[in-house]
Parts: sequence; C-alpha cells; structure tokens
Amino acid sequence: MKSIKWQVALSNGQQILEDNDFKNDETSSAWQKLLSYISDNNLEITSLSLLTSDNRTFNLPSGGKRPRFKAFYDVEKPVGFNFGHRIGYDVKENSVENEELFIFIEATYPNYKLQLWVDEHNPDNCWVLAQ
Amino acid sequence: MATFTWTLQGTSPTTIDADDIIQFAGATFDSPITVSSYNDSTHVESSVGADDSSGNTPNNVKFISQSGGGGGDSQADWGDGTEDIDAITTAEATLKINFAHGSSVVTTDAIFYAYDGTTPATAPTDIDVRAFEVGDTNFTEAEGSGSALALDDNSAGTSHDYFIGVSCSPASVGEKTAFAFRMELTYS
Repeated sequence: MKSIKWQVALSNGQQILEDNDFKNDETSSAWQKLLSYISDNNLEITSLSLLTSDNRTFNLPSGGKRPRFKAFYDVEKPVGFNFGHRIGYDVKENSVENEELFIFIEATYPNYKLQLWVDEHNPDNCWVLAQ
Repeated sequence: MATFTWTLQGTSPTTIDADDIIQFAGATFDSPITVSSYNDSTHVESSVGADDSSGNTPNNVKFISQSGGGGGDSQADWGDGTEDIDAITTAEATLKINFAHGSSVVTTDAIFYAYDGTTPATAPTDIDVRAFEVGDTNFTEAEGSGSALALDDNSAGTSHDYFIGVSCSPASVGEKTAFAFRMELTYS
C-alpha cells in the first residue's frame, strides 16, 4: 500500500510533514502531536495537503494571504482544517477482504465543510464532498 | 497500523474472523426463530457452517420492547429476565468490537449498522435489527447506514472498545443471507 501523509503550513510560516520530528512525543499519532504543538505555541493551520509516496499532492483551498492567481485570492478562506482516517469493517458471509480505509482532509467554513477523500488502498481514487 | 477485532462475548470470547458470520437463532445453533419473534441465542458461524462459539457459552440479548421500561427505556432479556437496557454491563453485551492502533489516536463519529450485504444504505431484507451501545437507554433500528447506531467518541488511546447489544427478528420464513454488519469510524 502506498503511504499518504499530510502536510500543513502554519501561521508562523512553518511547514510540517506528517513524519517530521516537530514535537517530542513517541506515543501519540502525528495529528494529535500537531494539535498539541499548535495549542502550545498559539498557532493556526493555514493550509493542509495530502502527499502520496509517488509524489501526488492533493490540496485543499488555502487560508494563505498571498495566492498566485486572482481566483484563489477572491475565494472564501477556510476558518479551520481537520484530518482523519475513515475505516469501515464488514462482517458478512464469504467476506475475506472486509476492510476499507480512506484518508481525508477537511476545510471548515462558517456554514459548511469541504472534504477531500483519498482511498488508501488505491490513492489514484479521490473524491470531494461538500457538507 | 489499524486493526479491528470483533468478538461475540460469553463465558469466553469468540473471535469473529474475516470469513465468519454472526448467527442469530432460536434456542440452539441453526434452529429457526419464529417470524416476528427475536433471537434466543447468538453464535459465531464459520465459513463451513460450524459453530465456532459452541464451547464459550455466548451471550444473547433479546429485544423485548422499544419503550416499555422505566421512563420510556427499551427493555431486553440477556439471561436474567426482562430489564431496562441501561442496566446491562459491558460484559453482558453481545459484541465487543476493539479498534487498535500503534499510535495513540482519537476516535470520532463511529457508527454500527446492519445492511443487505451489498449496499450499505440498504436495510437487510426481511429482518428487524435492533442495537444499542452499553449506556444507551433505547434500541436503535440500525438498518442501513442512514439509520445507523451512533457510538460514543473516544479520547486518545491505542485501544478502543465498543460494547454493543444486538437483537434480530425475521419478518418472513427462510434463512436470511442478505444480511451483514458494518462499523465505521474516524481516527486521527
């Protein structure tokens, strides 16, 4: 299975990749470490992406203030970001492959969320959901 | 690495392996449930039809009423007669579903439901499925993803247990095979 990692940009200009050694915590997941690091240092996430091991990048709309194109500048900025893995497991007759695993990143707006989902078993497949 | 382990609880737990199914039956393994009645026993059936839980005295939770208990609580019988379902302990629940991860993760938005084995949004055919998480006061008709039983969020940890009571009733005669259980959750 190809690995997929998140990458964030923070309000202090720092960029962090999921497996960077940015906080001394050997037990928590990388995302929980990031949330703790952000809270400890009074920071905010300004962009969130997914990177695959074969160099594909999936980007959410950024909260950054200096985009290269007007269309990106004019668009509404997210007020928050989130990340997770969504796993589904079935118990059914004659089922051997009974687990599905997706990774998602989420941009939060005042009245809705925009989610980008990637199939972790087949990262060529991606979906966008507006909720 | 994320792993699910489903077990049918009992005097000893029975692991529900990838190609096993959960059998709801009459008084004994493979015995029928009368139409519109609920299960009197619950088992783990292997892919070759064997009773994998035969030596483990598996738990059984039988639906009695949706709101006939104190304060409108649902009622069930898990071996001690009719009781409100908020009196059940974790050890008495039908299923223990463990989600484990190598790192400490938070789990959110977990759901549990039955479906027809093909399309998660579609209810199982001719079966009434009632489920609850230990601590709930009422059963949920957990039939199809749109009617799923919502499970509690869990704080950070490497192991997360969900205890679920489940009871089923056939609406028609015959073995029900368009029938599966599914659990989904988010971890981060």
